Parts: sequence; C-alpha cells; structure tokens
Amino acid sequence: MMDEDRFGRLLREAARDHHAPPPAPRERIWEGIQRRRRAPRRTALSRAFRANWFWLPAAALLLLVGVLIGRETLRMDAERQLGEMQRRFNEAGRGEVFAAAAVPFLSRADALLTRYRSGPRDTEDRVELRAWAGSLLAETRLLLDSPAAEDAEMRLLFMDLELTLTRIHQASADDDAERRVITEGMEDRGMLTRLRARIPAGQSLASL
Amino acid sequence: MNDTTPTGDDLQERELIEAALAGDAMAERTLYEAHVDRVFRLAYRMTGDQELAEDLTQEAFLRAFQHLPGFRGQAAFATWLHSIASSVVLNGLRRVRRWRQMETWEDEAPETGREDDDAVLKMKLDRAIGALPDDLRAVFLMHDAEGYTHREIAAVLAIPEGTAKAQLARARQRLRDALGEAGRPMEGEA
Repeated sequence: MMDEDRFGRLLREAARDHHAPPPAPRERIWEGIQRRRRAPRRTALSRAFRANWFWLPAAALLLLVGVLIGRETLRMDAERQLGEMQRRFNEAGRGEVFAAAAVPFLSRADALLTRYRSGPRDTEDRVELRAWAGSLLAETRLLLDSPAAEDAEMRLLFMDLELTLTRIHQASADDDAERRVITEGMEDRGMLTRLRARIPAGQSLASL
Repeated sequence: MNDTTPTGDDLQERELIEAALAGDAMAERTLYEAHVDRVFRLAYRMTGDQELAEDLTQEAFLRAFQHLPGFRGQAAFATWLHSIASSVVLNGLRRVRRWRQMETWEDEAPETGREDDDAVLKMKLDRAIGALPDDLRAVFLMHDAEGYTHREIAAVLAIPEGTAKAQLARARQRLRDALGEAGRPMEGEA
C-alpha cells in the first residue's frame, strides 16, 4: 500500500533520474549537421543497411508489396519487373532502380492523401485511413533509408510524407480541426503536386 | 512555447528566421544554440543513448532547416521545431528498435532490499518507464521529467490537449501498476 504523496515523490524522482541527460555536446552536434549537409546521408542507423545485398531484395520486396496491395490496373508482372530491375540495377545506379520501385508506393500515398483531404465519410472511414497511413509510414521509412532518397527532392518528399503520415496515423478519429490542420500542412508543402509530379501518367490511383 | 501574442523575443526570432532563410549562417547557428539543449534532452530522455540522441538531434535540425521556408509563424518556432524533433525521435526509436532490438538495452540489474524500500521501488519505476509504449513515455517524460505543460505537449505531438492529459494519466497508472502490491493506493485514495 502506498499513499499518493509517497507515490508522487517516487514518480518525480524516477522521472528525473530516467536517462538523465548530460549537457548537449553542442559543437559536435553542429559539426555533424554541417557534415551531413555536405555529404549524402550516412547516419549510424543507415550505414549498416546500405549494402547491395540488402537493398536489392528490399527493392524486390517493396515492389511486390506494391503489386499485392495495388489495384488491378496497377498490377504488374512481378517477374518481368524484377528482371528489368536487375538489368537496370546492373546498368545504372541504385537510385534510379529505387525511384522506379517507389512509384507504386507514391501512387498509393497520393490516393490516401487525396481521400484524406476530401474528408472521410464517417468514423469507420477515418479509422481505415489511419491504418492505411500506418502501413504507408513503414514503407516511407524503408524508402528514406534506401538509395531512392539519394535524390535530394525525392528525399524531401519522403521526409514530408513521413511527417504527414505520422500525423494522420496519430490523429483522433473524430477531430475535424486536427484534420484541417494536417490538410493545411499538406497544402502548404504542395504535397499532392509534388507526389503527382513523380508518378508517370496513368499510374495514379487517386485518378481512378 | 507561447503561441499567442508576439513578444520581443518572438520578433527577434522572426528576424533570425528571415536571416537564416536569406542564407545567414550566423542566424542559423543562433537559432540552433537557442534550442539545441531542449531538443537533445528530449532525444536523450527517450533513447538513453548518447550517440543516438546526437544523431536524432542532428536529424531534427537538418529537417527543420530544410523545412524552414515552409514555417509560416502561426505557431512559435520552438513548438514547430519540437514538433519535428518529437516526430524524428519517435520514428527513429521505432527504426532502431526494429534493427537493434532495443528492448534488451535496459539494465537487468537484480533488485536487492525490501520490496517497499524507496530504492527498490525507484528501480522498478525506472524499468517500467522504459517499458512504456513510446507515445505514453514521451508524454510522461515531457511532463514529469522535462516540465512541458499539457498545452505544449499537445502542440508538439499534434494531439488534442485532452488526449495529452489522458495519456499522462494512463502512463502514471501503468507505473503504479508496475509496483504491484507496494504501489496499491491506500484505502480511500483509489
């Protein structure tokens, strides 16, 4: 048994001591920021996962996920796609291969944001959109750490998408004000325009 | 992190932002110096890992500077920056956990002493804080360790203020539950 005063005191002390931060190494962090601005992204997190052996299967997986989830009109011949991807991978840079692999993902993101902007029909629809945003968020993070993000514009697009999808995923199912704030943020950043600029004609799910 | 009436500091910050947008490196550095401590503290509180906290702090500022042209000044700069930082930290934690299986990071030191000793209870609480889901842990640490108000937490995490309060209450209840019998409220206090 414990009274509120004692519990409150223990909780404050535990909170204060949990991962008590040392002083921020300001100079080192600043130098890191400048270094990362000059060089392509190589964080402690991503370094270990950039080897070709990791990314080629990852690209194949991403493509397959896109194929499985996408609508009939976007369903592709996976074998032909993978063969083509292997050929292009051998001939060109990884970034180009991943940019191509990202198209089905971008198309689904476009469809989600378009639906979200127009307003969910009911609570069930909102819950479905939140779940959809969650699944796209996982793919966005994979792409952010992939060679597809080596293109500066594409990287910014993924970063914006990550922020927007996080907000949609975390949003309350019944809060219209929150939806308006998220939608305004999307419009400020020109999300849909930038997304659609990356999707070849005829491959947009939102236009179906 | 006041979002209402502009103060002298707000106006000075607005000038710094405009200078940074115009390519003034010193202005950018001044903005960084003004906010890096709080961003780093949040990253360290959430990760308990120096290298990762530095990495996430760098990422938060990189994103903030990249997105600075889109900052319209509707919210305070600090709120906007911490919104980006919290998103970077929470997403970073998920990625790190996936790759490194971070659950094994927490110390598994044995508890010694009586079940209701303060030291033992605090050790249990420390572990229970580390085991909270990220969203509850973020709210709890922001409020109880770093002194954010409910309004600030709501703005930073883009959630309603009521949700922030409810999440804090849930976090505290889970921590009390983690203490087992020793944490049960006294008669008449439940």
